This record gives sequence, C-alpha cells and structure tokens, in this order.
Amino acid sequence: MAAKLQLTDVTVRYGSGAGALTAVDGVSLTVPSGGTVGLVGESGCGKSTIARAVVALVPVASGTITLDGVDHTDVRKRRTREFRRRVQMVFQDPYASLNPRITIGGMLVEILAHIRKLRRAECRKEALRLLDLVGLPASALDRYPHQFSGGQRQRAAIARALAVEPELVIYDEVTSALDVSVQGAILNLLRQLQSELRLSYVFISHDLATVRYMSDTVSVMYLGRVVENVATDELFDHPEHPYTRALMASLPRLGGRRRPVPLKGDLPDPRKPPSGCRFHTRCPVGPKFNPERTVCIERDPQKSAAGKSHNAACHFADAAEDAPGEHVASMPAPAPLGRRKGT
Amino acid sequence: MFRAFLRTPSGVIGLAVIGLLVVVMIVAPILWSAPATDVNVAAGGAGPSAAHWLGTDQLGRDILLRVLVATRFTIVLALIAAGIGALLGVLTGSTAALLPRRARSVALRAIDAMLAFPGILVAIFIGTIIGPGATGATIGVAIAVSFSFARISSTLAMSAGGRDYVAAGRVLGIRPFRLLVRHVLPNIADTLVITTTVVIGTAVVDLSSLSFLGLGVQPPDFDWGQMLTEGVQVIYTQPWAAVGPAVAIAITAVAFGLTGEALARNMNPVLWTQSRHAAPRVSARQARRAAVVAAADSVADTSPDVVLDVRDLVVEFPGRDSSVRVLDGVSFQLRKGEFLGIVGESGSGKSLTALAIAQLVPFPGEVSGTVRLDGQDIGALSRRDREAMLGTDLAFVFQDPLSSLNPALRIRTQLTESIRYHRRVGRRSADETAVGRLGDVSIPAPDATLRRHPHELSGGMRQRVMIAKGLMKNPVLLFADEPTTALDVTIQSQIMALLESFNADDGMSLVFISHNLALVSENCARVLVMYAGRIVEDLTTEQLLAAPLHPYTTALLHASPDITAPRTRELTSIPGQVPDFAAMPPGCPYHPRCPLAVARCRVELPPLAERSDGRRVACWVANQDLGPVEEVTRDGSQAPAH
Repeated sequence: MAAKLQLTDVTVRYGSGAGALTAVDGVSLTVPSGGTVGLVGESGCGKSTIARAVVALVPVASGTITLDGVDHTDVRKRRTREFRRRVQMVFQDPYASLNPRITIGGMLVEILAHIRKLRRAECRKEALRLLDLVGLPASALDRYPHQFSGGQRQRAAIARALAVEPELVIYDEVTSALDVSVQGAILNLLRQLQSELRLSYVFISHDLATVRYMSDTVSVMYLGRVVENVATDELFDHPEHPYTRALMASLPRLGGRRRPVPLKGDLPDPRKPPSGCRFHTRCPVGPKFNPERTVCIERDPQKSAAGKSHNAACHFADAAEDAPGEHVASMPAPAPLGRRKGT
Repeated sequence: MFRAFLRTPSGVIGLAVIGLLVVVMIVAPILWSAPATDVNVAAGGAGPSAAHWLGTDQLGRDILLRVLVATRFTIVLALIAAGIGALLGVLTGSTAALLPRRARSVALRAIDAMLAFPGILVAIFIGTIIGPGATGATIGVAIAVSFSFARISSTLAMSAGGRDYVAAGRVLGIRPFRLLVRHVLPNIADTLVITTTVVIGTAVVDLSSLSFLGLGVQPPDFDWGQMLTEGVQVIYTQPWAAVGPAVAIAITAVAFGLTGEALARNMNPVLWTQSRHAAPRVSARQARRAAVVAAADSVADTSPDVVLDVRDLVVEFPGRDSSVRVLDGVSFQLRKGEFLGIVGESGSGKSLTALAIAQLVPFPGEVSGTVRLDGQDIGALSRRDREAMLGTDLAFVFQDPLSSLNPALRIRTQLTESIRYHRRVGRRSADETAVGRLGDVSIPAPDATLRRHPHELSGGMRQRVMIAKGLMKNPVLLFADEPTTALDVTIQSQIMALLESFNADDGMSLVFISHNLALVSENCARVLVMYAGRIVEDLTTEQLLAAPLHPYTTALLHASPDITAPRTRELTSIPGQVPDFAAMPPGCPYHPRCPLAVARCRVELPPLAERSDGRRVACWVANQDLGPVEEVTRDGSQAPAH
C-alpha cells in the first residue's frame, strides 16, 4: 500500500528558552492508504501534539510531512483549503468540540455551503445523508448539541469531519470522554466508515484495548518519542520494549488478580527529559535495577531503533533474559500488597 | 426564545420599565415641551401640589414634566455613549486577543492600566479636554466605558478562541472572519449584551454626574443630571426637586440592569430548550416508592462488623413542576475491611450515593433515608456531632486531584486542617502525622512536600496527597470516586496497590466508584451495579464474572474492552441511552434498552429482591424463578403485586 501520510523525524516545540518543551522529538510515522496507524502512550507523551501538528494547529520545528508523496512540510501548504479538505480531525471531548449555539444541521450546512460550495437545496440533502452515515436520526438536524448524549455528539463531530469528504481522518482520544457502554458502537462505526469510504486513519488513544481494535500498526510513545512501532498483533503478542510491556502489565483485566506494580515512579518532567534512554529512570530492566547497564544513561537508543525488531528504541529489548512478563514478576513492589478482604 | 424571556420576572419588569421609558421619550417632549420650559418666576419654588406633583423650580417650571421631558435627551445620550463605548471596546479587545503573543500581553496590560482609573475620572478628564457640553460628556463617558468592554471582550475572545470547536473550524478550513463572527462572537455575546445593558444604566449615571458637575449638558438644554444640580442647590427647602431626577436615574439604571440579566440568560439555547421536558409521572413514582420499601426491608440483618448501613437513601432535586428523584431507594451494607465497587454509566447515581451518605449533596438537593456509620444513625446526631463523625470517620478521594486540592494553600495546611479542627491536635503533632502519612503513600521527601503547593506536584503525586489527606484521620471508610480515571495506567496500578495496602494494615473499608469494570473486578470483592439512580444488581465479583443476572450488568460486562478478544469481532455496546430523570419511563427504567423486556417491565418497577445465593437483583425476568414478588406498603403490611 502506498503511504497516504508520511511523517519523517518530526519535532514540535512549545515555547522557547529555559521553559521550552519539546513535545514531539524526532517522530516518524507512515500511514498507509486505507489503513490505520495507532498512537498509544500516557498523557504528555506527545501523541495529541502530533495530531495538532499535522493539521497545522501547532507549528512543526523540524522534519518533513508528505501527503500522497507530495511535500506538505511548509505550514502554508497545510493551511490551504485543499489540504483541509483532505485531512480532518475529530477531537476528544464532544462537549467542547461542538459549538453550543449552532444546531447540528446549521453546523453541517455551514461546511457544505461554504467549503463544499453546495447549493442550499443540496446542502440539506447532503446533511441528512451525513447524519444517516454516522447513525443519527434526521431529527438531529434541528437540535442543539446539548440535546444529545455524549455518544451522539461524538457521532455529530464525526459527521462534521466527514462533511468535507476527507481522505485521512485523525481521531484524538475520541472515546475517552464516553461511557464504556457507547464506546464500542463508536469504534464499530469508525471501522465501518473506513471500509465504506476507504479512509486512512490515525487513531490516538491512551487506551490499549481501543488502539488494538482500531489499528493495523501501532506506535508506542514515551516522552515525545516512539519507543516501539510494529504490526498490532505482533505488538500485543510479543511486546519488546520494556515500557510497552509495563503498559500492558498495568492494564486491569476482567477477572484478573492484582499483580505487582509494574512501574515505579512518575513520568519525568518533559521539559528536562532524562539523558540517554528517556525511560531509564523508571525502566524495570534498566540501570535502576541493573546498575551495570550504564549505557542506558549514556547513549540514546533512538538512533539505532530503525531496522531493529519492532523498531524498539531499547538497548536491551531483544536480550534473552528479559522475556515478556518476566521482568514484571521479578520487580520489587513499592508498597506492601495486602490480601483481598471482605469476601 | 422571547417567550422564555418573558417567563423570567426580571425580564418582564425590566422590559416593562424600558417600554414605559420609550413611551415617555417619544410622548413627553411632544406634549409637555412648553410647560417644561416656559418661565413663570411668580410660581417659582413651589412645593408639591395637585397642579405640580413635584412642585416647581426657581423659574416656575413643573419639575415632574421637566423630568419626563428630559428622559429623551438623557437616555439618547446614554445610548450613544454606551454604543460608541461598546464598539470601541469590542474592537480593541478582540483585536488585542488576536495579536501575536508578545504584542497581545502589552495590549492587555495597557487595557488593564486604563481600567485602573475610575471611569468617571476618565470621563471628567476627557470631557474637560473636549470642553463642557453634551458632546464632550458623551465622548468622555464612551471612552471611559470602552475599557471595560475591551477587557471583557479580549478575555472572552481568547477563551472562546481556544475552544475545540474553533480548532475544528480551522481544521475544516473555515475563514478566520467567519470563525470570529459565527463561532466566537455568539458564544461571548451574552456576556457582552449584559455588559452593554448594564453600561447603558451606568452611562445614565455617569452622564448625569458630569452634568451635575457642570461638565455635561449646559442650560438651556437639560438632562436629569443637570436637574439634579439645580435640585441639590435647594435641597433643604425643596427636597422634591432633587428626588425627581434622582429616582428617574435610579429606575433607569435598574431597568437596564434587569433586562440585561434576563437577556443574557435567555440568549443561550442551552437554557431555553431545557425547560421542555415532561414531568415524571406520578403513578410510576408511586410504584417506585412502594418497591423501594420492599428493597429496604430485604437487608434487615445487622451484624457488628457492619461499618456502613444505608437504608432507602433518596435524593431529590426540585424540578420545574415536581421534584426529580435522582437517587431512588439505595440500600446496602458494607463490612469492615470490605472493598465494594459501584459501577454504572455516568448519571447512574454512583457518585451521588457517596455524596448523599456524607451529607454533601449540593443545594437544593434533598436527602432522605437512614445512614448508620459504625452503628450510629447519623441522622439522629446533633449537627455538631454529625459533622465531627463524618469529618473523621469518612474520607473522600475524587477523580481530579487538581480541582479537589486548594491551589492557594500549601500541602501542610490542607493535610492538617481537619485533624486540627476536629481532633484539636496541636500544630507540631499534626505536622508529624502529615509527614508520616505522606511517607505511607510513597511520597519522597515528605518534609519538603509539606511546604509545596499543589501545582508543584505531578498528577500521581497529587492523588497520593489526596489519599494521605483522607488517611490523616484514620477513617474507617474511604470513598474513592474514579480516583485513577485522570491518571495513566502505570500510575493507576500504583494508586490501587496503595489503597489495598491500607486495607491490609488498618482494616479500612473502601467504596470504589468506577466506570471500569475490569479495575473493579481486580480490586473489589463485591459490586453494586447502578442504573438511573437505583441499584439494579448487588453481587460478588465471582458472580459478576461467571454469570450476572441483570441484563444491564451483562450488557456492561460485554461492553467492557477486552484486550484478548479477536480483533475482527465487532465490539458490543448498549443501544439507546440513560433515561432523563425528568422523563423517567414507567416500569423498569432499563426496559427501553433491554433485550429481554416483557410486558410487566414496561408498567411495573421491579424491586431489588434478595436471592438464595445472597445477591440482589431488580429484574422481573431474572427473578421469575422466585415466583410472584410481593410488594410491601409503607406501614409494613403486605399487598399482593398486580
């Protein structure tokens, strides 16, 4: 499959001087035409910044962005109507992303009339088609956002993005603000829309389960960098980077038992990222638990990641003694774990 | 919208007075121009009489008629001043908001500096430069009020411009001007409208003040301010001469203020489309009430290790026509050391249950029912004893540690205040306890942390501080309301381990409120499933995972994300949505979404019935093996179900 969107070595900085924050640091991504790339990682890892950079809501400091092989690194090229029509984004919070003063119909007609330049009569017909596409009733046309539930609002936000007939849609945590009871329906809808309209997706979430369901390949991010990038099944069956493994071990499971805490400590201040491997301060196989592994503090594994198995940015990712799961069991827990009570 | 506007009393009064003023503005100069201006010195300085209700001034002109005639001039000047001021201010303010960062902060500081001068001083200054007269005064007042418009519109435009729907508009390629006019301005318009109407009122006062000082309207023209000047000169002999214009000024200012407020309230579609909901049906509510009693009685035993015993907890909020019941007959018990999960969709009453137990339901909510904490009926305690008991035995950890910690206070104050107040612990020993508790929750350098403010800590640290704060009092029971939802999964597992450790050490009980069934199943032994303000199933985690009985529990379980399911399989969700409390369906509130619903579910509310395996289920279909369920009325006698 040809690449629809290609990011190469993209860096995004906020602010300048001592307070500067490099939110995204040399990230490369390839979104295949008609496929989905998942971005997963904890808050502050830079996944949403990538989305905002692609749609030119924040400027890119360095790196290149191409769409269908054509260079769009220059922000002016991404602010054109042409690019805007081809690349769309859906935001996390459907309570904040819909204008409370405009009906759903008014919102869609505005886009259809001013951006797609449809005639009045066509606008209404097209708006109804869009509502039907996302599973909203025709009566939604004359209603305001607050008259809908969270899931319905998110459907309206999806309809708005689809109104310009995009080729690529970026979904930024679109189910995070929704109840578990409606998340599934939204994700099913996104998959169905993708196959019907042949869309390419970038799917961003902190939730491993939804990323797994949506994506063909997944990039795991930590502190502004991609630490592992591989086909979805491969990632979930055999995670290689110790951070990915810790994420998976932290995930609560239905019917699971409490396990030892996989990661100690907090996320470091992204303004002052640790030297060498950025994960070394928390890494369960790194210098904290294996003092002889000073290479993690001294050398950045990012440079040699490309071409490695899973593109894992880790000096010890494929080391035999760190078989998946083992490091978790051998890790000391920070607090004494009590037995379960009250049965 | 207009009809809604007329339903607010302040809108009606304000609009009525403004309507009256408009009539006076039009009619008075036509009818009474002559008697208001004709000089008749012989009749000068007279007190109120049948012919002249407010008396006459020194030159014998009727004061009441002069007040009425002056209405047009006064209000027209005020409208012009407010209009020019609003235009100037909104233009400078929204332009300032759109400037690049550095230029913007300079512009905003300049606006702030101008605001620091009292408006009337600015008006006097400018009025003096331009020269005494109506023109100078109007421009002076316009410029004086423009600064507050500029400040308000810049702040509003900046916050509205940062909203996601504006970002979405930019991504869609909507032009900046269109974004401003259609997406930014309408969302700040209500504040600007109320400001404008209030400013019209103050402009009347300001202009009158300028005229009073001799800088405004000059004789032979007259406005209320100028009449006030004349009236004050004779205030001891002829008080009515000053009262007339003063009352006119006050009434006008208040009328515009009231109208502005009502307008602002009714311009927002969120507010005027909300009042259309139907009131809850009385018959359905009565049925629910009867069923509630049955449920409350089914948990009758009280053993000594019960920490919390909740019976028939009800929370009602006053609605438009009748009160709306948002928590309906919640009854459960919690044993010492038990971890109880409460799950359900948003709006199911999970959080409200905890708030109601702790008597923290926000006004104007009303709570009824019995809550026994450590065997003590807290409803029977005096207010002081109840507060002391709730303040020390219960602790809360909320979802967002940033908004539940006070940003202005140091961690030390926030940790120690409750034991210093409730237990009269001295400062030093309270500090010692705080250091100990921070150590317990794995905070490095507790001494230094005590001196910090919340913003200096990370999200995980703040949540640990919140837990430490709750633990300061050695509570018997901790309510954790989505304590890890705002945190990342790696931090989540740390927090859960921490909660469990206190349970193991001190036998603390935990009510864990979460939307995440997997997290609840890993950490809690028993689960309450809530729907639309009621408990629909109360079961052990083993029962939940093996075979839930209520179709809602089953649906929730199936909707929970499963990282091991085949990726090609469609995800499950629950069709439909949570019912609106103001328009609750009759019968079982879940029946519109329930795949198993039968005729009875649509008419009669199923009671929460206890089954032989100890679980409680509120479902006609799940309980059909129990035979006919009997209703119990309030006085305890049994009545057959229909």
